[in-house]
Amino acid sequence: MEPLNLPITGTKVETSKVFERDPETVRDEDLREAIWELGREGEWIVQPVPEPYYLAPTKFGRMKKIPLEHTWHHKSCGQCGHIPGYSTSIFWLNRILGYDYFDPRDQTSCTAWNYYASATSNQAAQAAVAMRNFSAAYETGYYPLIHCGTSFGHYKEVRHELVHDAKLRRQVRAIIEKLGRPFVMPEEIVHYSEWMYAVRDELAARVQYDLSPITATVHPACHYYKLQSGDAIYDPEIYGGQRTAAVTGVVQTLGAQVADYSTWYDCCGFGFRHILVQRDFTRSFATLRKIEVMKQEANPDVVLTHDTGCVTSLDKSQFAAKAHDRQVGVPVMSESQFAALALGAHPFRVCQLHWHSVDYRPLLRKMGIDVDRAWAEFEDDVSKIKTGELDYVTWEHVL
Amino acid sequence: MGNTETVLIVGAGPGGMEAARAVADLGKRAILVEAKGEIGGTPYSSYATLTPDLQETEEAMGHIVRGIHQNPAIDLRLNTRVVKSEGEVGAFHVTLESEDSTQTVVEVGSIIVATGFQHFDPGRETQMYGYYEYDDVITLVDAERMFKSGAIVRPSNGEAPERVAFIQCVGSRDRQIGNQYCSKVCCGIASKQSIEIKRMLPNAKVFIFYIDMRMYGFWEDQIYWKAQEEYKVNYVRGIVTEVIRKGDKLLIKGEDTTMGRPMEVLMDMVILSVGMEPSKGVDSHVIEPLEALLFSCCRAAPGRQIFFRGIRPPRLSFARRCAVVVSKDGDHGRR
Ligand SMILES: Cc1cc2nc3c(=O)[nH]c(=O)nc-3n(C[C@H](O)[C@H](O)[C@H](O)COP(=O)(O)OP(=O)(O)OC[C@H]3O[C@@H](n4cnc5c(N)ncnc54)[C@H](O)[C@@H]3O)c2cc1C
Ligand code: SF4
Repeated sequence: MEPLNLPITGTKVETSKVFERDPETVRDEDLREAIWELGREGEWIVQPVPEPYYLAPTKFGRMKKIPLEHTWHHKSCGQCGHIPGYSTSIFWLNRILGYDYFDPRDQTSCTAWNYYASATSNQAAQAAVAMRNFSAAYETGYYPLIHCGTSFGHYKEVRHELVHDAKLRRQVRAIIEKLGRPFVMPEEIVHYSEWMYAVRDELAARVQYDLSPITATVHPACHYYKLQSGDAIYDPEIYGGQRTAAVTGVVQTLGAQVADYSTWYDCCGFGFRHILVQRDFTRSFATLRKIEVMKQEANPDVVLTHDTGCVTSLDKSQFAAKAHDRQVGVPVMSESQFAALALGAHPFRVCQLHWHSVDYRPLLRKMGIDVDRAWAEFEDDVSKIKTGELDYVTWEHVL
Repeated sequence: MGNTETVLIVGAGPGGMEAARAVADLGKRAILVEAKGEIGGTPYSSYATLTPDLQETEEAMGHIVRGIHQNPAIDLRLNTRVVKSEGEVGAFHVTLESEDSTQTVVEVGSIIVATGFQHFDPGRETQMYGYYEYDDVITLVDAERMFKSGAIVRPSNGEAPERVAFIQCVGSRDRQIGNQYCSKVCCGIASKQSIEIKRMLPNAKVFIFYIDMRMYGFWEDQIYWKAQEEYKVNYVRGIVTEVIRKGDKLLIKGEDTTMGRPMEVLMDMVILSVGMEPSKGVDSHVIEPLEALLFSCCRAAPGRQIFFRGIRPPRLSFARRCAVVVSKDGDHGRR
């Protein structure tokens, strides 16, 4: 297809109207004081955000503490199975920045997917899973950083319930005590894309390629900012402080262009129940409502997002629409993968793009990455693993 | 010993002005305190015309404003705020502070709080209406400003809009944002403005997207039926969830609840029917001594729209048209 050469208006708003943030008007109450209060009353241990932290602005002006290091990485069920480069890129970036982190092996899946699919579980069980993970993080001395948008949003709702419902608190506490673990609530619940936002300038200082020719469209993940929206990161510079600055703020700071499109607010198509029992709907929605619209209106080189389900649905639905000759074919990845690529991470050893469905090679070439050489290196790794010369790829290979 | 002959009224909007006039008519003295340099409140400062007759505001309210200035029983204090208030019903000692920081203490028997409302800020809307993203998304208040200037145009390009949509209940009747109440005026005002737009731009198509139209009495015949029958304004029962830019137009997305179908319609201009929220002017020193009474007063009228934004929960919201009256014999009620 011929390039469309559409004008990119960016994220600066065209109006002179200015939204004045007012923490008084936030509809979700600020739970932090209540969390500390319950801590003082001995209801739970509050795990403070480790210093040094970054103070990020949220929609109504409350500043949110984002830990820079000593983070405990709460991975996502779909991520590891479908797009492992999402989390590997986050770890790689931590290592490049010299930040201490912990990649636990005993984390429980949050179960929110089933909950959102109206499939399973109950209030106490959900809260117990969240608190079990928080206690596991606390025991290691590291601070939870949630990779998945859904786990993040869900844990915030669970936190809300636990703060307000003493009976639930007691029920869950009894379960956690049975497990022989401490009952812990972190001071803030933090998503990895907030960490990305916090370190965006540090990342930008290490960018290896000129990203200015790259146009990205951003899909903000519903469960990141539509649940307890007063807690998500917003920046007045980005769409007048009316759309979350997560992802977009990072991509722009790295030097790429972010283009707007009219279905930005729509779901990626995952829909939780849809992906399980009505997958055709997911495929159609992801491609016809999202990818095709992006292509028509912004013609992006890449779609960037910050949730596992979103990356997967948007990427892995495109084959179906392609079979019907629709205007699709835009690579999809997390902004952590994109940032890692920009900082020189190996596209396959680290970002693991071979797990992605849509052809990402044109994007890599446009970024200035020698994709053929990278692939040859990766194939070489694979043959060495086959012959037993190499057990697996280690961090030493990729840093 | 208090001064039961004097009533302090805080806020000189329509509510406060009417209260001051009534106090004067009863042969008592009114101290009318207004934070701004002008009386008349929100309508006098912000609206071009008023319901139900679409009369110019200056013309409709001018005589009321002049009446206050000329009434010898009304002691008007402009650019003044209450900074402290002590005592009890029948004997309040209230400290007023003027613009130049001069403080005076007044002794009053009763206090009427008529600090009014402020317009809902659409940046807080959970649905995405793009007020702070797109110039052509405006509010009822912005539209009044345009009417004052004599032309209704798309702010983005200065051209007359061909298709205009009003979205009702922005910031009202919405549990998600904590404003469960109906603001009671915005259906009438949208209908009024739709008539004004059709008068100025007869070829424009005007739509009003509503949950249900609440015209509250006398505005129904003068405005609602007139808008439909004489001016062919389209009332569509539907909920708009999102406004986004599509080319140089605005695309409104939502659900047509009569047809039970999703809808996506292009518009040149969108007017958000923003509701009312309690005025920020209600500061704690005005309220504190009155709060217990205010709450019992509200309990006496459960579910009624006697609102007041207290400083402690429950946060009751604003007083519309007037105020909570706290008087000597504890006969507190609403006007
Ligand atoms: C968009 C819109 C259009 C409307 N159009 C019409 C219409 O056409 N016709 C109609 O009848 N009604 C209309 N209304 C309703 C009308 O505006 C209100 O009912 C009316 O203004 C209420 O009067 P009020 O005195 O309670 O409050 P306000 O008008 O808000 O006045 C409050 C006054 O108190 C002052 N104040 C606030 N805090 C302090 C303080 N601490 N100390 C001293 N002073 C203070 C403020 O400066 C202000 O002057 C409209 C409302 C809206 C939202
Ligand atoms: S008056 Fe109409 S627009 Fe205003 S809140 Fe009530 S129903 Fe909604």
